[in-house]
Amino acid sequence: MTDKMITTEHLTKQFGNLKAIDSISIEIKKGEIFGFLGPNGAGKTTTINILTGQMKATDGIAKILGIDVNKHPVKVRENIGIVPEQENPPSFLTPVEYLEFISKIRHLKENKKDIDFWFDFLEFNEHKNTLCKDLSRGTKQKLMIAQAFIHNPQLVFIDEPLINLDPMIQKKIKTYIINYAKKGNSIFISTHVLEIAQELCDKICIINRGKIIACDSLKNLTKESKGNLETAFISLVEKNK
Amino acid sequence: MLTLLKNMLKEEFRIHTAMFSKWLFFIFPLIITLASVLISISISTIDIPTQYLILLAHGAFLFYGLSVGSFGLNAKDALKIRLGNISFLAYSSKILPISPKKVFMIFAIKDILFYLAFTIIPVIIGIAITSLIINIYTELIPILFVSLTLSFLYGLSLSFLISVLYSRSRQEFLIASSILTLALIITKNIWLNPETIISYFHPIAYFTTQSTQTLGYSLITPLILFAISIFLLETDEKNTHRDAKDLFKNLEKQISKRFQKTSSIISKDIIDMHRSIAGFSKIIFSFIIPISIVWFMLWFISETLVPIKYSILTFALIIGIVSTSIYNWLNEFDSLENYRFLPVSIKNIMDAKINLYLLISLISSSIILLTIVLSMNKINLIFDAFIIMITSSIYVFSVLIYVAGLTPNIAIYDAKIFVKYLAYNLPVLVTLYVITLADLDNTTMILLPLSLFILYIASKNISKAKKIWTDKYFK
Repeated sequence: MTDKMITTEHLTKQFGNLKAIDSISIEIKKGEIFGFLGPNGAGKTTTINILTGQMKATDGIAKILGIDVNKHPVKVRENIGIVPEQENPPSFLTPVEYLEFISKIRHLKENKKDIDFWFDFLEFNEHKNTLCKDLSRGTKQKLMIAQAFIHNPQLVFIDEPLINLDPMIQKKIKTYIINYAKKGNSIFISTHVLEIAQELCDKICIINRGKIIACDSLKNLTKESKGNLETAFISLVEKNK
Repeated sequence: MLTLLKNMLKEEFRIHTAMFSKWLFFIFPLIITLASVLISISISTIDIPTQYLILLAHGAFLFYGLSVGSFGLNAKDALKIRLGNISFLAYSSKILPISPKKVFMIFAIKDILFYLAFTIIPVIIGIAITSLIINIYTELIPILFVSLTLSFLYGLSLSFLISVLYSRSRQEFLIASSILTLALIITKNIWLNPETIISYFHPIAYFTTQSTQTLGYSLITPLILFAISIFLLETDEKNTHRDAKDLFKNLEKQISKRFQKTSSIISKDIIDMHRSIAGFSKIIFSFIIPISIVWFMLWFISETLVPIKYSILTFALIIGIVSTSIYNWLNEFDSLENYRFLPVSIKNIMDAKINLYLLISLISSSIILLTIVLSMNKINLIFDAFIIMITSSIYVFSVLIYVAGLTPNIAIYDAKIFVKYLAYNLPVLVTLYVITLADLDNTTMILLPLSLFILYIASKNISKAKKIWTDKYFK
């Protein structure tokens, strides 16, 4: 098994005349928590969409767990977990049914215990039988987190991980993510919330206008700003305007 | 109010042009006009009584209004599910000081204007061009425009009222529809004759008499129906915390016995339809009600104007065609967004939709056809009728899935797609239609091999659709 969870070489996506991402090359290793940061419209979600096989790259190579995502998008999605930016479980299923649905789609064996674990862990047992359309945004996000981890994937993509959640649940999830990575799994986090990135990530890439403007360990990236990621981020983005 | 209406129209325009190019969107009415010219010229070459044509045209517009009018069925679900997570002006009442009823009224006006501009006016222009070419009834075109539009509004407002009643309470709906049906049955001797229908269906009466009084009635009736609907429209958020028993597990277990690979998606779709406010009733609106109207019209025409010998076979063909609307609903409740991040291919989703479509449409169509065959005592035609119904249903569906993929409700407004849809369907449907009318000694002998051939083409269409749409959605 390869040590590299994600490798991209000159990954490019063009929408008409707009280069949404421009020759991105990144590498994420086993056990890493990788932070993908950038201002609004920088190309973060497009990159995630390509890496998770939801969109085809115009040019370049992207390998996820050694699989070429442009050629085998479904196979890639079989092996990863994704928490999308917008939490959108099917309106008329309940959370229990949704996790059963996900388990069937992912060909998991009868896993009532695993499903129950997530309701207990994320503290939304009282909503397990409520139709998804009637759930609060926070509860929907809890459900989307549960569906992404339910099959214990080696790699999980999380787009804005904690934005609708209360501080107690945020804390729980952060701890879970750190421990999950310690087991040799990798997490790709895309976020605007720099505190989350600073707290969780080992390695950070900053994207601006479709190009990677910095990619290093958190320590190296914040060396000049005395460990402050916010200062480092603003300075790098301003420099590359 | 005008600002909101203007912006809703802009919004509607942008939804469509965001999906297709501007010129394709604008060419759609031209195609409708062209089709209208071709159809009117073809009809003018056949010797059909004028009375029959008038009735047919108004009936068709009434039917069109009824079928598009179910948007009021459950505005919230329809908008949320059909249009996804995008924010629309129809939700303005939540954040702006404007009442939901007013917003919905403007939404209805916007839809009327939209259908007028993109379908009704182009049809009338087509008829007008034809009347100029063949130089008959030219002076009646403005009257025809008014009366056909009014027929459309009758259908739209009636459907709107039924929908609102249904979305308020299923009980209210059942009581109202039972009373209405009972009243119609009891008074059938009074109203069930062509003269009464023609004189009391105001749009036709206006066309024949052109009296101001009839025009007044024709305008007031849909206005009253709209007003009642808006008055009764439920705007409060109710049941915002709806719990439900776990249906998925057992349902999936049952369905996986038959459809192993697609059982989870099929189960999800069935639950979606079952739990949505409109759910299976949409099938009633889009399928059973139009079929009943067509049946009534066929009966009415054959009893009063032109004897139609093989009405059962023609009717079977119509059932087959209309049943494809079920495919639209299957996609209306589901969104591709639900699958984007899951290990599900477009082929998987399409397979699930195909299986579910066949299951629902063939069962419901068969029940309707069987009921009609038995009630009309035409058991000798049952085999041919079933062949025609199944063949037309599967073929039209195969064309729909081929040209419109998993978004038939939106894609059909793309002129290119619509032309393709017509071009693929017309030769087959016209052939089947001719067979239903022809007085053949042994229809089955011709129908059977022809149907097998058509079904073979349908299977090819479906295979191609899976390939084409996989490439289109993943790009």
